[in-house]
Amino acid sequence: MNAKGNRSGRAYAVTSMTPIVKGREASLLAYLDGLTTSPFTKFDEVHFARWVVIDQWKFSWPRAPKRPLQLKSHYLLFSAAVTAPDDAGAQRLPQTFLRRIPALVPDVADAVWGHCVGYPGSGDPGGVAAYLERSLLSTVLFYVGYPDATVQDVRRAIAVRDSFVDFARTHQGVTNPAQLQQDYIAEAATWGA
Amino acid sequence: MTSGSFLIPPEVLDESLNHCGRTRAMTIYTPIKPWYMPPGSALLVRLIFWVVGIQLRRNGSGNIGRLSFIHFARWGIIRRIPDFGQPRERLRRPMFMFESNYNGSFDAYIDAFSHILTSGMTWFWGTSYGFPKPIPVTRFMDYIHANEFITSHYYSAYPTASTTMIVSALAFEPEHEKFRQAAASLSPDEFAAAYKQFLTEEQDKL
Repeated sequence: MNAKGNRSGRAYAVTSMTPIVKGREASLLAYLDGLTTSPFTKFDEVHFARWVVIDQWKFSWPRAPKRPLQLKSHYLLFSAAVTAPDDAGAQRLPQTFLRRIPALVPDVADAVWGHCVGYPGSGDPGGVAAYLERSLLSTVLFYVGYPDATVQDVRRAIAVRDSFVDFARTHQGVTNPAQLQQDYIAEAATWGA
Repeated sequence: MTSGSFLIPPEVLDESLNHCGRTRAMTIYTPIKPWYMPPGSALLVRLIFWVVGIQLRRNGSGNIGRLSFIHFARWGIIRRIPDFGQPRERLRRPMFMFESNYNGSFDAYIDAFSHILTSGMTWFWGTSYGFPKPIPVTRFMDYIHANEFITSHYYSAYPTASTTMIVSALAFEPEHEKFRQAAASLSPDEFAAAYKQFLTEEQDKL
């Protein structure tokens, strides 16, 4: 697989497609629909992730080809935008991320990819990572709106900015410079911590 | 499955399912035209993205960066579907994949795409069957909608944050850290003046 297009700085575009076992599509959809808490909250490298059931290519639009492409199976698309904290970590993507899936969320991995053809089960974590790696699709262009920022970087920056805005708002009427300075030093030390 | 059947009928597609907080997901697949139907061919798509990739690396995000509501986006060409022993798929035409994570509404997103990246959209999707050109935008919207898949599960690590908010916050944080580190060494009057100046200088990031 040409991985160059999957990378943008320290970020990696993971795109996987696996065939769903015939007759188990509705059960997979019901499971995904019932997820109330995302399993990806456990992954500190994941900015965004999605599961999409591809049931058939879409050709119901004007000027579609006369002989539309037809899928013989339904597929599970899994994609994630992940960022490593450093350059060395980025070079180890996507393997490190794929290995963490059966390690961090074995039950969810089994419940989701257990509906797919050839899934080995989280009892074989190396097998799961190899299975997912084999299912990867290449990206030709990966655009990142805030290059090299990790999830923690983003959350911390937003927390600092929001805290500063709150501070500025609540201290608009403070006219004593010493009080302003004292409050700022005390409060700013805790922002984004 | 019956060939051509839909597990999820197109009429039940619901754009409201494609979101997590204020972040939205877009997932689109369109068939690429063959080389004898200009401007078709997967090779041309690859060439276009090779050029765009070089431009992005040399000049930053360029016009795509003007679409300030995109968090992450990816484009790909699917020539073959991973084989796990399922009935063999034969892709007579490669599929063009587009995925985006953005904030705002679907209509505003497509509208901005059409008007800011008019030529880019023509290059990107002009190689696909049925592409109606980005303007008029209503036809383009219909085309994107007709080729869109709805997510069954979508996750955002910071669902309440917009792209602009994140970019501003990331630019603000190092400036604030410099100010914070200097704050203790200033006299109260010097601090009050520096604080006022900092607020003025950084107000566009707040």
